[in-house]
Amino acid sequence: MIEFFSAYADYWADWGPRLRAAALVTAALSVGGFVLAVLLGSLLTVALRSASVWLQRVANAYVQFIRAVPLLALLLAIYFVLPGAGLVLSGFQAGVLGLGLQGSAYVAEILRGGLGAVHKGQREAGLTVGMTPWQVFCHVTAPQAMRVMLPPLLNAYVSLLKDSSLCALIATDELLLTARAISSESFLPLHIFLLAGLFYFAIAFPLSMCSRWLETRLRRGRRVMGAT
Amino acid sequence: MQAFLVIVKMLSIGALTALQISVGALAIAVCVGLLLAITRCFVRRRWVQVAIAAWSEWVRNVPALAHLFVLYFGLASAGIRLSPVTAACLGLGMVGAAVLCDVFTAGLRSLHLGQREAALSVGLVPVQVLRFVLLPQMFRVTLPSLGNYASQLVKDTSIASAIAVPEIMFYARHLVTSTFETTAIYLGAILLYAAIVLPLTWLFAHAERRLELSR
Amino acid sequence: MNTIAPSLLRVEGLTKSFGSAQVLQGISFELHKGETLALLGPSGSGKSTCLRCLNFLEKPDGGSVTLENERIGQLPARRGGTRLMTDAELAPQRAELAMVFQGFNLWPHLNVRDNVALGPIRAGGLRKSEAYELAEAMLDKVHLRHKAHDYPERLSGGQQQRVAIARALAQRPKVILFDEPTSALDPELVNEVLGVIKELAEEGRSMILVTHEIAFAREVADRVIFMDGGHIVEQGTAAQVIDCPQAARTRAFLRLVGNAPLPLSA
Repeated sequence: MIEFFSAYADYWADWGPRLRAAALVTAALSVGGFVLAVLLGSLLTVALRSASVWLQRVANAYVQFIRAVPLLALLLAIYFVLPGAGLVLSGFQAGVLGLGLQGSAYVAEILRGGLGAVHKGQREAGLTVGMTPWQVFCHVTAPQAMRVMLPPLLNAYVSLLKDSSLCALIATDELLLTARAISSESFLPLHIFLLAGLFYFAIAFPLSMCSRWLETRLRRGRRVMGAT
Repeated sequence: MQAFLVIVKMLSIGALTALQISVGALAIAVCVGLLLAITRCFVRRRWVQVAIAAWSEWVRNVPALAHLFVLYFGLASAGIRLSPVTAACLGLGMVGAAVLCDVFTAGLRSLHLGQREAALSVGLVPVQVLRFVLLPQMFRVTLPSLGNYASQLVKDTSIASAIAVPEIMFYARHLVTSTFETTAIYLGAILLYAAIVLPLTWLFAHAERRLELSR
Repeated sequence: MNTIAPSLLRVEGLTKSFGSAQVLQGISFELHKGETLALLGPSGSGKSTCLRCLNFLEKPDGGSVTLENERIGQLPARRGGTRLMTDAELAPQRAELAMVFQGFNLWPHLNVRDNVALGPIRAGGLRKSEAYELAEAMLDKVHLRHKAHDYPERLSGGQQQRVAIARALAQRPKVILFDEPTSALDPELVNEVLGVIKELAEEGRSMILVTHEIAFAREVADRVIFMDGGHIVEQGTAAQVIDCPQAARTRAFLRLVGNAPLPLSA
């Protein structure tokens, strides 16, 4: 049992810095993908709630399509097929794009749910008080929607973080690819992959807990504050 | 033309493997997930709750690909050699069990306490209460989540290509190196997944609607 | 209804706390065969808790419940004293003590007939055909045989509660426990349920009825127990406790709920 942990002590000098650098890439990948997902997702939500039926249909079709396709297929398609059309992306860039595209469908759902959770009367009250629709959105709808959307958004980020591991398969030097390289050098796959898992866990677990805590806190608050 | 036929044939073989893994992982996920959920809801021991929670948190906060690497490469180095398909079924099944454990727990807890009390007061023993009163209702309530999980599972089988499971993405990447029809192959793969997942989604939606109407 | 009727259910020294609140503070009473006993009292008096302790849906902290010389819910422990039975061990005893709940608790995924028949089939060991016959007979008793193939959500509250009563009857219980059976019903549906309970009382069933319907209790119960703050304040015949209560708390409660409305016409 002790021999198991002694391996870590032996190799930490080599593994440590490499994994840390890789973790930064993973973080950058996931944050970049998440930002893109939120931007695209917001556009999608606008399209889904727009008056134009055509726009709704296009947005819906996109969401259905993205949700029917595995992320890996998307990533490989972006990385290998786009160069044929003249767009050559690095593994990192393809990763951010793929994560962003897939994430946008989920973020759109979250945003839609959040906005839908705000009671219609809230908006009406804002308008009758004399605010413009944009002001109502900024000061009335969005803050209330945020409370509902924050936990699922955190969960979406955690999902994206885990999904970033797939970028290992398109030659991005993130955590899992680095772990794989180390494993073929040191022949200690069990150690290195468990350690890589621990890195992910160390970021994802606190965020998941945070999301859950927020959810219970926000639900309590809503009942007290709730209108009808 | 020859190349396209080969592509379709190989990808279809890959699709069968993907379905095979999906069924295997689903079976593991439902059985283990259900057992864990029942344990979580009805066994009051503190250490049991903590153990299940700890395991579930570890499984769900670590990428599935990492779990597969641990099961396939990691265990092999410790002397336990799993075939790629087995490792994929176990790995995806394990992740699924954690997901469904949460789903089933929420489902069971959403049932009104009085349902169980009425069943007990009629003289049913706890196993009968689960079998005839609680689980039938729980499955109805959790059907949407189950459907979501099943669709996600089929897509997640693509990850198994990284541990040399001969499913769709695996064949896709190899076909590219032999035929160079990159666009056709990846487009074909994407369409193939859509062709499996979309009907699956519609099937579950239909089942949900029918369940609503029949009551 | 005669006083020489044998004792059926004996409750001795029942105590129960929820956290720091002591809800039952030593309850003792007896139910005789063929008797209808009403438990009255303000909210929080512990009457529902008391009822639920009888079939061990709540586990009492102390005291005992005995049904025809059989101890309910407790077994001799290995090291002396008693231990609580598990739900599996309690099943046969609970089958003899049917309960009708305030919220009906019908099973929504089964139709009315299956709701009534599930217990007899799975706990009573009857064959499906026998159980269905029994179910239909019991549904007949509550005047709902024509609804046998409907699902509970299609029924009104009063109908659902009557199905719940049929389900309780199908157990062929020694005692029927009613936990505020009409409290969750719209006013216009209350009478149909009270009518069924009255018929059962007239048949000579042994029943314990926790209720807020004072006039109904007066009409139907043989004996009444008034509870307050976890104690039995007063007990006696219905006429004694409701018409001429002795204790001040009983009088205050009855005055608070107002002059009881006219008795049932059905």
